Amino acid sequence: MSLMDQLFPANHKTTFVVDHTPYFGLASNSHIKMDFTKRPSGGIPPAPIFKSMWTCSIEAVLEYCRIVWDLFPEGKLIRVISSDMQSRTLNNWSSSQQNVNYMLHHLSSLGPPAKLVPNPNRDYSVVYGFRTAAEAMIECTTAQMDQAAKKNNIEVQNKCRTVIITSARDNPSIDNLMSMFHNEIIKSNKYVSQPNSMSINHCHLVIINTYPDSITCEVTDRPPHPISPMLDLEVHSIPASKIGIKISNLLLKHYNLASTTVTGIPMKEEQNASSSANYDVEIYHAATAHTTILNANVADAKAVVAKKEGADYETIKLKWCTPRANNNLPDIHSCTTLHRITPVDINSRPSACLITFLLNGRSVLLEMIKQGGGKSMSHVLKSYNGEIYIHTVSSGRTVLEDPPAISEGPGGKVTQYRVADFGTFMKLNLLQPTKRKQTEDKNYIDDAKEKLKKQTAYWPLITSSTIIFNLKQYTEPMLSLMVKDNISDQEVMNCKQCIYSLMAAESKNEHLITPSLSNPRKIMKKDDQYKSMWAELETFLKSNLYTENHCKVLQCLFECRGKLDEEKIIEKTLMRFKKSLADRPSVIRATTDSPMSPPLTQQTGIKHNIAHKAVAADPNSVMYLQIVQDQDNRRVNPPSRPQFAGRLKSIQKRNGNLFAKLYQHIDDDTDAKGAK
Amino acid sequence: MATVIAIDLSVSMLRDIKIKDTKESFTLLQLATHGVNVLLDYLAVHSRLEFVAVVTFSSTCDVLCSFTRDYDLIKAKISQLEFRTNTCYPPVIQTINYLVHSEWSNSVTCQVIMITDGNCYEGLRKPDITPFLFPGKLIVVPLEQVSSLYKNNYDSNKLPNGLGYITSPELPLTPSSVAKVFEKIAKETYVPYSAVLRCGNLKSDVHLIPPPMSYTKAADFEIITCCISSELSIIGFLESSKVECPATLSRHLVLPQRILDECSETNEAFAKTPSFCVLLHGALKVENMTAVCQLSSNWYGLLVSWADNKKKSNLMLIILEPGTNAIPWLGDIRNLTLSPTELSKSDADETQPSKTPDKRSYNQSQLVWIKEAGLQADIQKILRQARKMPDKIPSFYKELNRIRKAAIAYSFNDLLTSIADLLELECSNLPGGTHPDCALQLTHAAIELRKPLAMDPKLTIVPMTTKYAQHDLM
Repeated sequence: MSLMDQLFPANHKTTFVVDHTPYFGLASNSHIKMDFTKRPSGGIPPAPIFKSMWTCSIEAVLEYCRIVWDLFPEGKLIRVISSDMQSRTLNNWSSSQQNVNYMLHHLSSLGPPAKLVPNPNRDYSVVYGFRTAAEAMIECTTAQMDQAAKKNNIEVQNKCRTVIITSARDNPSIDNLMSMFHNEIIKSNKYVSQPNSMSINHCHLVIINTYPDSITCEVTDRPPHPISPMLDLEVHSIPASKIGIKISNLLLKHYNLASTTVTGIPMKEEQNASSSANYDVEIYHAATAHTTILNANVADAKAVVAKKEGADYETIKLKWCTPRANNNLPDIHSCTTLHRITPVDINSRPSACLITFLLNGRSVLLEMIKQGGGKSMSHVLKSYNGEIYIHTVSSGRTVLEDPPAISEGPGGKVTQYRVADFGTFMKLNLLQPTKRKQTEDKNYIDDAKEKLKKQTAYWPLITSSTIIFNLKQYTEPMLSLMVKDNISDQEVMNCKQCIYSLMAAESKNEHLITPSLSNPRKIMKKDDQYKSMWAELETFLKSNLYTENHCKVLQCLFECRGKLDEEKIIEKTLMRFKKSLADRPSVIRATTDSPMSPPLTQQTGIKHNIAHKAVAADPNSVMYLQIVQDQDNRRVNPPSRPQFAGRLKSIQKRNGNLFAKLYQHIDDDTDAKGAK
Repeated sequence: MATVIAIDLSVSMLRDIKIKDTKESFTLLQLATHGVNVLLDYLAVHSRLEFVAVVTFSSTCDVLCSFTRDYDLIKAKISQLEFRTNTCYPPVIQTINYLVHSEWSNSVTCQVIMITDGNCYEGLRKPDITPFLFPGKLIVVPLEQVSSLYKNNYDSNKLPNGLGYITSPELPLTPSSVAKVFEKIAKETYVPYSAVLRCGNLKSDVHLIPPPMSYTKAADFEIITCCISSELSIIGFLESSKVECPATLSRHLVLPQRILDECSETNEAFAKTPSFCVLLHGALKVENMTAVCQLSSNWYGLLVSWADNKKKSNLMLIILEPGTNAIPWLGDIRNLTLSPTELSKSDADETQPSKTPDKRSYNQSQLVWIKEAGLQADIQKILRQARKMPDKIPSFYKELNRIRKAAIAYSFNDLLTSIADLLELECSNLPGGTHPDCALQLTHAAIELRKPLAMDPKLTIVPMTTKYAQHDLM
């Protein structure tokens, strides 16, 4: 397959044109026995029934859709068009109409083909569907529009496939249909208008010629061959009752699928629950799930490949492996690929049993029986959220064999890691899917990184380099509250309470750390313990200043310790909040600002002076902070209306009045002219 | 990572090279052996975890030594090579494909270093040369006395189909020029990958072994090429049970970086300096959890604790398929959010893996009658329920309507009258002791199926209200 075919696969857009003319209302002549009940001897058995050719065709089309949409929930689109006296589309390219239930609903209202009533004005024909199909194909899908909008280096190619199910007399009539279809494509390409439509670059036309089982047909099969640069043709001629099988064979080629037969599934007999027999279930999935098997030893591959009965494709037979325990899944990392599956015979009892088994959360291991009789586990079937997947399991050795243990490397000999604390941290930071879709300005990944950053602003790796994290009886809930984005007033109280209790402990001269032989800090004097504890607590609080309330906790520590805020860290932080709020009023999360504080503005200076003047009392009291804030609110609050431009440019005169020169620009202009 | 060394044993490798200004002379094969020894010595120092295999080839190809880390064993084996016939490339590729596949399956990147005569310029461009079936590159070192005639015919040293490239030693050929080219290959190929492992403000310098490769994939509409950035940023954590068996591209050991220093004292000090990487590993192991990390803008990986055997466990990076939907059952990775700190239990259940909006066919009751048996099984099912009425009245009518709706969609009109016949037949066959309601319901259903309205998809056939039971209407 060429790169262009890979990039723009024909299976992105498939259109079915199904003949709905009176001829298709005819019985397919393949009867279905309806003899189910015991009847009195001599009773006449119920008459067998016949499907019409329309029923056979549309069933097959829906089965095609079912399999494709089961395996590819997105990106593989199918439209169905019926044609009798006019053409009718059953669905469009939008994802809401790309499901089997939608189609069934619309088919119900379409009904069976009409009985033949000669109409001189208009004939019944499949040809009416051709134009509709061509029009459908030039219509862009969402994916095509998105790609075209991206303006990549490679221009988007509109490649598609059309499958026509009809009945023709002989080979020349097929040629006729083909050339009519070809003309419709050429015609439609002329009416392309960007951006909603796109001319067809290439179309793969598959004509399925069908007829009642009882007659013979002169139309012969033709393998895919090019007709023109934009059209390939393939013809299959098949009695109506076999369309279903034919279409699923084509499906495997169209979507590059493969078949796996799970063999030897033990099942209880329906009639006799005590005995069990072995069944086989066939599933379809992307062909790449088999690559590993087929690339391995040729002889081994031959041993598992078998021709599928009654079809012209091959299936790979893999043996069911009865699960022994619940946790016998292969290692998390030995699965190399993952593909959705769907059962081929969805209604059969063995399929239903396997599906239920998987949907109930159990997994099935599949073994490949090698030529020599050896076995190796090659695949796993498992369901997640009601969807079943086949996993390829790598059976090879690993290059990571015999690695150096992490304990032998740097940091490996350290024994005092805060493993339990980090465990708690991880549990507090579990990822969960959200129903809200992310928008351009909301990026959950960056949010998550930001959140992790805050929680690790001060996070010692080992127990011996911290005191406050070893004193949880005192320091909680402060340690966990302070790392939050926002803390409530009540939570501020709780944090302060922690500081008070540490104060109380110090005044009672209690041991902070119970001396023990294993404790490396046992030699430390009690005074030193408190000293380093207070210092660490200050570092911790300083690292977590996200809101005013966070600052209040630090302020409380300063007050309790009778310490001055020497670096003016609280003030600077508060100023930063103010500034970022004023700068970007729409941003609520001012805390995402860089920790580099902005340079002090002139306003800070003013406020500073006032604060010092106004506070005759102790600069380390709560009052101080309160006053700083009050001043702040009064003075720094942005004025309620924008200032006049003239006033902003004004110069203050000695008497206190403001002076501004009006019409300055006119003056400048005249000056300039004068100079000339 | 693994390496295969392929050594040409054709007669042309027997040629003697005289070293200028000395009396020494070497055969090309001796030079080849010398080059391999240089490579192995480099690996022994810089990349001790590398597995190396050696194959020899002429008209056929033989595995001299399967993948091993015992470089001395390889050196011993290549010191006693014997000449064979002429050079032939296709069997080499086949043998290497088979060797790599049987050893590693297809999940391991493998370098192939081929030492051959000057014939490779032409020989490796022939159409019967197939690409490798595993991820990896071919590096060809041609040993030739004079600049090849072919060399100028091909303007680049790149081989077709992305097979690899040719890199020739400087002329004249001497043991030192051969050693130089092998050192160059070793330095370019076996680069330790350094990265920063980061979780918020916690970080650790790490090496990834084997080095991660960039990844190119042709998807529908676009060719995706991804490279791993040098920062692995953790974006949150998951319980390991939620990410069983994802599809993995490759896996790598994450080892804390040590500054190369022969002095044992500093190494000792390093072992005692706390490392975030070791802490993370410990916590992931104890809690049985997984960390999700971002590798580049559109590529994610998982960090887990992994043990080769019980004693030696390690931090491992599992690289997922590029894209934001690498773990389909978690949905788009960009839509994962960190749980609010105080998440109540009920909320936690609600936000668990998002349900897929439309169910797959096997997860809903869709009827497919392409095979005769499928239809017959469905009819038998309603007949079984019919006999068990009035107990089974709701399920009988539910099933009947289901079949009827499918028949309407498929325009299978004959089916309804045929089922009506069957129900009547069933009614006439009822044994004596049957509940009278059963016969009434069967007759009622048969009459309803025969009405022209029965083909109306909006209609639902409801049970007949009889004096016998107040069954629930559907």
